[in-house]
Amino acid sequence: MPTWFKVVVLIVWVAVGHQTLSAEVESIRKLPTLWALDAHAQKRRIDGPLYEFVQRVQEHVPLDQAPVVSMFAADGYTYLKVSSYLYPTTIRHLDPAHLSSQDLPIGGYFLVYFPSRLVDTTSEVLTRDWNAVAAKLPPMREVYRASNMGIYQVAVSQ
Amino acid sequence: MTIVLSTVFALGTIGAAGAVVVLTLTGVTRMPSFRGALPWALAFIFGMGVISLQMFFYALFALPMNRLSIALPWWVALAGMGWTWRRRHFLREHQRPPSAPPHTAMSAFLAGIVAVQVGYCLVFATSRPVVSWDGWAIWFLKAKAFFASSGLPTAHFFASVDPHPDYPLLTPLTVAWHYLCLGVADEQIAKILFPLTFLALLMLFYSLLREETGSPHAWFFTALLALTPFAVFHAGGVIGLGAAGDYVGYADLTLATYFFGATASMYRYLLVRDPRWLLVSFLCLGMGAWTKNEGLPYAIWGSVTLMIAAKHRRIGVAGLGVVALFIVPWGGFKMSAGFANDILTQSQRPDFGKGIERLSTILAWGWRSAMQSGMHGLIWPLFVISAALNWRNVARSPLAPCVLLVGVQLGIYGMVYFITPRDLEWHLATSIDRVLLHLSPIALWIAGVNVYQLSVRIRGIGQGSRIEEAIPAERIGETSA
Repeated sequence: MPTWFKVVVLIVWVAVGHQTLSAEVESIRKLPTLWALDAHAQKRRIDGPLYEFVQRVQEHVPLDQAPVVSMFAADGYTYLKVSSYLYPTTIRHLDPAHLSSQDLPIGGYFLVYFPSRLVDTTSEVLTRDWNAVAAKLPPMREVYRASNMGIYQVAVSQ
Repeated sequence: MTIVLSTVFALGTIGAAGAVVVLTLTGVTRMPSFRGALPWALAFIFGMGVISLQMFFYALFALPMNRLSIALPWWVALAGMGWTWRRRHFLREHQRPPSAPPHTAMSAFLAGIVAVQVGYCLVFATSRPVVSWDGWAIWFLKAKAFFASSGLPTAHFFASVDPHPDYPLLTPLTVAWHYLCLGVADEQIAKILFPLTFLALLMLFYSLLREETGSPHAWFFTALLALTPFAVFHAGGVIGLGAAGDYVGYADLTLATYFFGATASMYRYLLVRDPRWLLVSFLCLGMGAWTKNEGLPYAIWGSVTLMIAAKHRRIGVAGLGVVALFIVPWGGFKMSAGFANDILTQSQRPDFGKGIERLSTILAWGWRSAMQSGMHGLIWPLFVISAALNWRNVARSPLAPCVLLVGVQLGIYGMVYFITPRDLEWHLATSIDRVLLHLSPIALWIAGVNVYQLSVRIRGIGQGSRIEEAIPAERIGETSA
């Protein structure tokens, strides 16, 4: 195949998938922010209502040491990450439309989410009424009591 | 630093286990076409298969599951084989295949595109936690369960916690192996397996196309695969497209890699009749069935095709044994535990009165995903058009069985949609792109072969039918050998 033909096909191929490539560029652009937020979050111990909530989760889920809650933002969502020595896990915000098809809770999860937007709403996450969320915990407690697996993946919702 | 060293050890052991398989396959001798990136890629994908199977057996028989008990056998075997290989390699040095032609500037440019895409996936995938739904809720959850249990999880886990207990274990147990090496279930770093699988797929793709068409042509089509959006979504993910932009943690790209390995190896076997390609194909078929349920029909049809076409019957039977090794223990375990597939158990006899309506919906979704969405680049239009133009070669071996396998698998996917107990639109929306991804690398590879054969034919007509000039020297040598 002549080189000019290859170049033309490459250009067409990229044009067809241009959305992905522009998203790749955008992702690369946001990488330093991701890394900085993650590094910052690793060192940060969130307190207040959210930490109390995590404490309540911990009542039901055996952890080998106190969890460290970290937070970082990406892709329009706020991610919360609860880490303990043995089981780091992620508390995530998911697209509500996606969740609606999953009809929570699923299996051993107690899946909840909150419609927040990046770090701008960190204060909202930290100050919200987590008691309402915690009220939904019993199903998970039952699951974990029964399984005694120590597996806890909890997504937080409203 | 510990994370890095543990990850290197985990990946190194996967490579060592795969290298043992590759060296066993080649009879610890030099195989003309097993050169360059190919043995490395095969070592990685075979390593994932055998390590995960080993862990399953350990879990099944309650053997101690730790770094030493899993890694030691492979490293010892590799050391022994390495010693043998060095001696034979020395003796056979004179049989070195002809050196590859120098790379052109265009090839270097295309290789650069591949490198950038893989580099992006490696960096981005490991820069944020698992965000894909199935990755988080199915595959990584299973991995965590095996890791937390240091063996087989409790019956309760499979009955109540695991949303899909019938899904095979190659991906979860490979991730669990990484967790074992790390000592913690660090999902973020464990995501590295997925861009590395993408790299292995691209290396396989390039190597097996190069055998057929030569290096410049192979780089061109490999670059196209590296630029295919949906593959990147599964290997690295992107920001900005929401949940639709990040599928890292799904097992679909891994399955696509095994499907591709099985089919392209089948092509090589039918072309050069080297029985080692037959075994590579059987291994990939078995590991595909061990990756996802969709791999099971492909393994069955692929095995039937290989047995019909195989001239090495005894090796073919051994290959069937290899496939069975990956299917039977897990199948037996599933049956004894009563794990059932939700689609198969809940599906009802299709209402053929509504059949036309369902069929048109399925075809419309398939058309949109394959032809219009851009998710698969231009793979499927290129596949169809090039196959139509190259119909003389497509209609006969070795291309025909490969095209037939793709067609049969597409038919099986269509049948699943036809009988699905779920809402059809929802089922299609959540899976049609992924099931096409399983076959996209094969479709692009066949398109690459078609385009090459067509260009040789056109050039041959124009230059007095000197077709053999355009065929790589090493291929002629291997074919005649």
